[in-house]
Amino acid sequence: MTRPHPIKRIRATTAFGEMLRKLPPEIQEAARQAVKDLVADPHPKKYRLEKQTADYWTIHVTRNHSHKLSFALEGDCAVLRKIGTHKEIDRAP
Amino acid sequence: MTTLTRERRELQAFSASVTAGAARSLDLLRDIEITLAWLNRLTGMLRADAEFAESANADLEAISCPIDPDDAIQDDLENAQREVKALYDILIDKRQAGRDDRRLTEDDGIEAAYTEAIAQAADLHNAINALRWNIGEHDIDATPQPKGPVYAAEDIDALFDDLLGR
Repeated sequence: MTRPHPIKRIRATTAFGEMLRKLPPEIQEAARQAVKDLVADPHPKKYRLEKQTADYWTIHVTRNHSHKLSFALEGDCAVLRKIGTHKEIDRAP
Repeated sequence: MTTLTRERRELQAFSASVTAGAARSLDLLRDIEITLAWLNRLTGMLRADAEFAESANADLEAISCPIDPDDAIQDDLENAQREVKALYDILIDKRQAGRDDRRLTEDDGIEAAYTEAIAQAADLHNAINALRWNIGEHDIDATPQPKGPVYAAEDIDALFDDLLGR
């Protein structure tokens, strides 16, 4: 998987802010930490970086994978796009 | 061992097999058939719904305007996910009950039918999840977004504090 560029600047879409404000405080703080870790290491294993399309990536915000956030890269600037619940279940339990 | 003795043993084994098979009540066999028919129908419906979700997902690119400006579809899809997850959990419980039922054998196909239905329920649930997420991404691209302030990478706390109004 191609690594995202090192991130030197960051901004958020209006939608990201609106979604963030609706989440429980512990998820808000987990997101803050996840973004800090993303900036420190553009390929943080524990957050399961995934390239979704040519335009954006996602990372898992919580250890139990209950929430994800997506971001795009504009040069060295990460644009936080969306944050919300992520629910997948095992097809062979 | 004489031919007669061998023949007698084979016939005894055959008789035991027939007796065991016959002991399974006709009611049970009928119940198995009903369960299999219900599971096959359910699996077919789940598969069709998953295919619809995947198809809807593929069609998003062709739509240039926002699809869900008030998040109503997000909520509906999340509810649908909850219902499918509840069904998935019931199917797992019922499969286990089938495994625990000594009257059932592998050849009855009940466990395999439950396993297939469970896999299809998971596929549908996860297809809805992908659709729900991708509608959100689509609408971010389809809605004019003010650029908003840019922060240095070391100022993430300031970014989050501003977003959260602190």
